[in-house]
Amino acid sequence: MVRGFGWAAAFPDEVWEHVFSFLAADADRNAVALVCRAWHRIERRSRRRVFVGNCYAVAPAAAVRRFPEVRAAAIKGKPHFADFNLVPTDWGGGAEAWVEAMAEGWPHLEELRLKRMVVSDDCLELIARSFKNFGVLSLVSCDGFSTAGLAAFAANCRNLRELDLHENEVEDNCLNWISHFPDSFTSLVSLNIACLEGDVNTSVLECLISRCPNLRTLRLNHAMPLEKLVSLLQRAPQLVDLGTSKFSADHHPELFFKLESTFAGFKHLKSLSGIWEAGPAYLPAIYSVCESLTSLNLCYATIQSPELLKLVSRCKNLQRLWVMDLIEDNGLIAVAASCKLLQELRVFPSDPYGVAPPISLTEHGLVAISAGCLMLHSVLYFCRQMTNAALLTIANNRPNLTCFRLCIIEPHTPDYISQEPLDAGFSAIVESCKDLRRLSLSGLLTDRVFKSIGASANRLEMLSVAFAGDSDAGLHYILSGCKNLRKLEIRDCPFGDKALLDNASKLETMRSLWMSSCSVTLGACRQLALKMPRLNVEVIDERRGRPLESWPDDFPVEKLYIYRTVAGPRSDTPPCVWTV
Amino acid sequence: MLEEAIPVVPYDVSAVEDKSDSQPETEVSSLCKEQRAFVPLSPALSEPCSKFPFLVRFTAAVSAVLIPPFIALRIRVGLVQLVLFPELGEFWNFERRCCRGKERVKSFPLFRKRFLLSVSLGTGHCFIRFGHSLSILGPLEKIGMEEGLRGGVCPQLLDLMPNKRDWIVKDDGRGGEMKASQLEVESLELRLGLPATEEEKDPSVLSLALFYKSSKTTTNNNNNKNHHCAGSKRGFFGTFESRAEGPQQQKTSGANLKDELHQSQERKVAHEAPENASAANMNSQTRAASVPLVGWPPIRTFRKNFATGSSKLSPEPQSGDLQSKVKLEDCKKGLFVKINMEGIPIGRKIDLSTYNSYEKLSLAVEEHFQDLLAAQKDPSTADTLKDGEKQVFTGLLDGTGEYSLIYEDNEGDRMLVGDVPWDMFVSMAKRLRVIKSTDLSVIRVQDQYAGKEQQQSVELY
Repeated sequence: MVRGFGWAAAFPDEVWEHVFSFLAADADRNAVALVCRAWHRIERRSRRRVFVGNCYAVAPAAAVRRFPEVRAAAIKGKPHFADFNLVPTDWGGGAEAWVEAMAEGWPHLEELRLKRMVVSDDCLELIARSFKNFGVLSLVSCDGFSTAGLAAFAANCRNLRELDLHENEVEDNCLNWISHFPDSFTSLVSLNIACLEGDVNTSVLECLISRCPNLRTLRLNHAMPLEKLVSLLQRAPQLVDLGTSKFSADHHPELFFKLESTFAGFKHLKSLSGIWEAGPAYLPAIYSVCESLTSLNLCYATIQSPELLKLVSRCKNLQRLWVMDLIEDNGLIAVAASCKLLQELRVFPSDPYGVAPPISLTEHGLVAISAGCLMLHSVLYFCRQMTNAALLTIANNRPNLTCFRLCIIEPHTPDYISQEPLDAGFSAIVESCKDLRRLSLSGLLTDRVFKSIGASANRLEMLSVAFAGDSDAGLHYILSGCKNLRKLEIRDCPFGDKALLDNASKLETMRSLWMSSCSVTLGACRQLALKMPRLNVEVIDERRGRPLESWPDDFPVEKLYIYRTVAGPRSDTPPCVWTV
Repeated sequence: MLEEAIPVVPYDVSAVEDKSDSQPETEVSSLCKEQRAFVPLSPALSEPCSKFPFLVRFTAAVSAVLIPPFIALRIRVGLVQLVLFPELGEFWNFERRCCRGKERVKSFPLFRKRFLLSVSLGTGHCFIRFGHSLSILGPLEKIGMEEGLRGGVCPQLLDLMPNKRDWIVKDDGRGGEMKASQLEVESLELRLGLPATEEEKDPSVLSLALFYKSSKTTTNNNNNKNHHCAGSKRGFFGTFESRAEGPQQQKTSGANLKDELHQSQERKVAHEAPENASAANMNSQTRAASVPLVGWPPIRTFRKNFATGSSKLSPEPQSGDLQSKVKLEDCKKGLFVKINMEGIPIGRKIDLSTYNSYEKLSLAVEEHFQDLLAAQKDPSTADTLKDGEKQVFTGLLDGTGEYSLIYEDNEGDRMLVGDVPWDMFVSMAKRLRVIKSTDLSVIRVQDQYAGKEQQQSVELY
């Protein structure tokens, strides 16, 4: 033991373990582990929770060896742009290797959260069979499995508390998978099946719900008819978080009253989502719970502005609101006036490809929100026009923003009044919002905006750039600034080799860099890989064809994914991915 | 290639009728509790067959636990009942697969059709009725033996062509002149064999429809509630017919097609120009209407389905007209389907509601994928391929081209696009795929059902 820590050795390990248990953040625990061997050992044995931001950054076996007593694991797979179809479907991110390693090394695992991974049915079954006390499975944006796999999973889980299937691509080949939960199974607290496409057997689900008294979260998919939803919900008045199925039916006054009384029976409801295919006829049924709601997710609800207005103006305690742009500026002005506690706003496009007549959702709505909602810290906003003045106002109004993602749907859109680039506006955002962690840029932007981002955005962790910049300088500003940057994703920008190679060492401090349709050449990738052996430089080219070696150095790289790793090049690359 | 792979063999009515009272019948019916008249197609079926040209697979709800030994499997296709006499062990395995796949067996033959028929399984102990679908796969050699091998046995095969004749390729006219309602009903009744119109021309060919005529009286006597099979929609084997008749079919809608093609090309030209100049020129209107960029705007593919689907609704005024609303909601559901093309990792979503015919769909598919396909090609040879590319997408519907368009219906079965009336297709299609025509006969078999499925399906009844 190092001298200065002599006193530390006087405590038994258990004491330190207890002390460390107060350190919640992974980063803090990592720091503790670096202090001395003893602490490394103690921390290692007491770590209950691991988070792996990139499944290829560390070998599963190494992670399992390092932390033998883990109870909860969260692992992410594919790059974020996979959400938008930019990553080949066979890119990788398979959960198999991880699950196998965990099954061997962490028999007491209780919680597993996977994001953007390929999870096979066998994998699900293995999870269910391997961990005796398994309680929480959360799959977000995953694919590769089917409801038959879920059936196998359900059949083998005795103590499952949470099953969260969020926006996964699930093949629907076993309609009654829910019926595979054992009859003795009563521990369910949270069930989210909103992403499933097929029908769910209502009577089986009713049985399940009736026998799980602790159920708090229930998010259904759109398939269930409204009548069945009513009878289902009557069995679960204790729900805190509800995602309804489709909210439309033929007009039956009786059904409406039933629905209304069911909702009136929800005394604890805080979060409401779903409301698929909502028709105005049944919306008033949920008015009774509006006041207590803190989270309202209407991003699949095609409710028109007038109805939305009536609805959201009743939700005085709303902290989180996700809507479609059908809400329009007027609706957002109403939100700004009534939802004073709003922290997070997401506005999704109802018509991203501009087929329908334009909707009057503009910068005015966002400005109104920024002025009216003092707690607002997270914004995702899809719109078709923006001005520098509006961005300046928002920056001044809400310096507490931590997440600002603005998507002006048309690439290269300038300030529509002055026809200037939006540099000034976004610069104002990064300069004013000192705590900004996540930023997405859009519209017409030059290298100037990157200069101010590099200089000011010291806490920025994730930056998404599309159709922006004039030259290499843009990327150079980002990589040489942005001290805390972890993830950078760039598409269709004229960023090239020089900036990348000049800042090669920066890449090792980041989790990953994605560049597609930029000006990077294969030669630069080769140099980078040589220079930084701890980086995996993956060139993704779906043209397949000749092997990588045969391409010249000046070959333009279509898609590039660079990440740091201690595991070396991965072995499961598909033909369209080359690790340089 | 396909014609070779799956010879089209007609039923021989006379053969069936002649044999209807032969000994296999008594043999089987004595074993079945439920006595029913059935017509064995061939005496060869009465013994365990080792070399049958067709594999039969069921996708059906199971209504009872199957207890071996199984003696025979009776299949009624329309009015015809087929009898299978497999070896016991094999049969058990075969049956088990059916049980386990209560909802369906995962991998489907590309040409699976649902027949309005009931499938009966005779055991020594009980009479078991399956649901109502049966599929006949291509010849064993082409299917690959995966399925059978996984179970440790060969797939059971059903001899439907005792005379070893070739299937005859015929066009049934696709019901172009038929009334829609008629079409709708008839399209539900898919048949083996050839339509009535053709039968008369070729009496040597047996179709179920013909059989129906000839055996009407006998079946009535047997008090069977058989389904009529008089539809002249092209049936199961129509998928091959269309191959031969492809050019002809196209001719009928040729003028239409040409216009469409022209329009789409013009549109493309109109889009490309602003795109090239987009950095300098912000013509948002033209851009917005152009072919969308992959991954832009950055919306999750998952929600794109709903977001875009719902956008159709957005301009709709909130009239009190409930009926229109309901209709709207109906049509909204599932209109957006995913479409993938073999060899292209990027999938698309297309809105079936915006097309009203198979031809338009085919054009849309071409539009969606030709750029991607071009991008896939080696850039150095791209120029030379340009002409070839255009042809890649011809014959999508009739299987004459390099690629074929297939769809997965709401049960997950894969079928060739163009089999059923358009409206029905729209309501059933859940996913589209463009696959190499040469792969049509390749069926990948995946086994996914947990053993529990078997019990489960029983509990349900």
